[in-house]
Amino acid sequence: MRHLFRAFGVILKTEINVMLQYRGEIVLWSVWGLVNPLVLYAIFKAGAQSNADGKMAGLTVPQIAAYYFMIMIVGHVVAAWDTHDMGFYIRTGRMSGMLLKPMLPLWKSLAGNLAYKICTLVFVGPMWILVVFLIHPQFDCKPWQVALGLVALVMAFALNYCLTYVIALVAFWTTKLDAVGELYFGLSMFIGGRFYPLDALPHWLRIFADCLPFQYMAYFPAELFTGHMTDPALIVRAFVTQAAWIVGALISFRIFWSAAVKHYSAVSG
Amino acid sequence: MSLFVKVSVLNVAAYRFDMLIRIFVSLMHLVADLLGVYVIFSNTKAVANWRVEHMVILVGVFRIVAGGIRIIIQHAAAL
Amino acid sequence: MPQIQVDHLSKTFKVTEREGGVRAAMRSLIRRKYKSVAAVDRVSFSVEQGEIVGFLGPNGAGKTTTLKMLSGLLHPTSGEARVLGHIPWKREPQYLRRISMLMGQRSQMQWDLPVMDSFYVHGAIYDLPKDQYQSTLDELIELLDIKSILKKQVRTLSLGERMKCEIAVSLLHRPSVLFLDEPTIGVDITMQTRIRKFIGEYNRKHGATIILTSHYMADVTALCRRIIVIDHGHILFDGQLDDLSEKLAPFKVIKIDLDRDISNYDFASLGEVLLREGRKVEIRVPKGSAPAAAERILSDLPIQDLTIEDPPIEHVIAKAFGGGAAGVPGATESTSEPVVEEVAK
Repeated sequence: MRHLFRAFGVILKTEINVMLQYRGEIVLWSVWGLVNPLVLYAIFKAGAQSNADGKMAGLTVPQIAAYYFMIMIVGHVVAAWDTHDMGFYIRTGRMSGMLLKPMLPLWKSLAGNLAYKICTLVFVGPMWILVVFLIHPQFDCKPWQVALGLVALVMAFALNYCLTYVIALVAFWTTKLDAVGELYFGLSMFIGGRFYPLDALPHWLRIFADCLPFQYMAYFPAELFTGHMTDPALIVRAFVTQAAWIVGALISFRIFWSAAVKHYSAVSG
Repeated sequence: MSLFVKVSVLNVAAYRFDMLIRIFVSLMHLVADLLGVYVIFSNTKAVANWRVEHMVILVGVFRIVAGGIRIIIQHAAAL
Repeated sequence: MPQIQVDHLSKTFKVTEREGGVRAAMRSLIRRKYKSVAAVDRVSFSVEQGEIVGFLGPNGAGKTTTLKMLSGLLHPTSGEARVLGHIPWKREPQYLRRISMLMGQRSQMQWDLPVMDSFYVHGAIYDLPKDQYQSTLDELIELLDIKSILKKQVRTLSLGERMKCEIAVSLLHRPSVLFLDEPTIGVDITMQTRIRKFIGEYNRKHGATIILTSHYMADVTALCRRIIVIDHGHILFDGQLDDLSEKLAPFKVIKIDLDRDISNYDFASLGEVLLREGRKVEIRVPKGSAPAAAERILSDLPIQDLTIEDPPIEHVIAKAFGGGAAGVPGATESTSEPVVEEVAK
């Protein structure tokens, strides 16, 4: 275990060094993460201002600002893109080099993910502060909600990362997986609360969203941080469901990884 | 131009599963856009004086332009 | 006990096949044609510790597929293998730490970073003790002469420089078994010689077992006493390189440089005339009759120069490939036992 931590630390430092070779790319990715929430905030704000009570889906404009601000941060923290990378590694033969090493390729991928977040923080941090001054979010949260929000955020990242990686393993069979990645991303945006607060969804769509794990990757932590989720029973149930999805993803990984490696055909020489 | 389109089609058709999902995703994008308009307008009557019919037209134009960019420019750039 | 033991190892791939063009592409969306390709078909061999074995075959023969199964990258369709007492495709970390596979066309280094960083990461992944890592690294830097490029980014290296670094990275953890898949591909002649020398030196110093595939016969002749010839997934020959040459090409080639033009001499009575251009003549004669033929040439003809050579090894190998199993005496023929029909999807 100690060896794994040491090796992971070295790989993480290396991935940070690699990221820093492409500073322009870091800036562009940082900006990309802001655009979507800001546009949706603008739409919801305009919608709220058109309503007599000045609210949209039960939220005032400052509350809408708080929600999308948190979605901006949560989206950055939980981001994972292995559904796109895995197919590339397999098609180009790079996966062979990774499989020859006495360490799961997952660790390199995780290190790359964390490296991205660490490197972009330097740019997105000031941008987030600027956004606060621009949109004036109103937070109704208490310290205990912030603390639980942090826990939910870490678990949201774990959940998104594990699920993304499990789905990415399909590339061992299909070789190309870009469209599946887009499908996953689209679902996580729409019924995960990254487009709209889930309270804005019609009832039938909300039932569909409740059956899937996406809301625990964005909506749940955002609601805690904004102070909109206050019912303890609801919070406990959400944590339990989130944890259950993580455990399910980890078990799925163990099962599918063995099958994937067995099926690997080492294309591209 | 026709060569780019042909090669793009061949590249996409080489991965059957990915292509099927891609078709489904394209349809899902359209449904999601319209559902999105529905979600917004089930919570308000107008967004900065844009009504639901204006939004639907905007979504349609966006999809057509985005599709054109994807078919012609994006795949040509990938080559 | 052999360090590598392979028993009836097979690997069959299911590949798609279609015509070119958009119409065929559309047709294949609905009905896809598959073909089973037996890349490796019931190969068996063993390798003792410290041996360097040349694994030869034409393109698509099954060399790389065999190496990939032995390194744990591929699961076989059937058969067994043990390397260092481990089943390779179980991919146990203890096994992966003791082997290395160098694939000539594939880089295992950090493309965007200096060479030294790749070494450092490799040392961390393999959990090398600091002093062992440093002493091995120093040794490799000296043997491969790469001190001047340690600070260069990998993507800026020339192919030869990169190959040397790839070899260094592959050997940093002092593997006991090396699978070298075309290690000198695309590299200039000077660098090829250097790499060959290094591999030989590494084998002598550390007793590493090496299986080497290469299309350059100079690699094989310089390093390998034993060769395994494979074609269409079958082993055609497994033995000493000299024996193959003796069996397939028991000839000598006599090259003659005449002092003046001779038009009326019956060179065909000496042997098979390979070349007759002006004053240059080449004749192929059976090995046993080479001395007598040479004596006759020297007494009958005005000679400026005469050499007697073995046929080029490339011709010997090409003959082995061209003849298939029938081209090689004692080659392993397919048995009538049925191939296991598990087909990789």
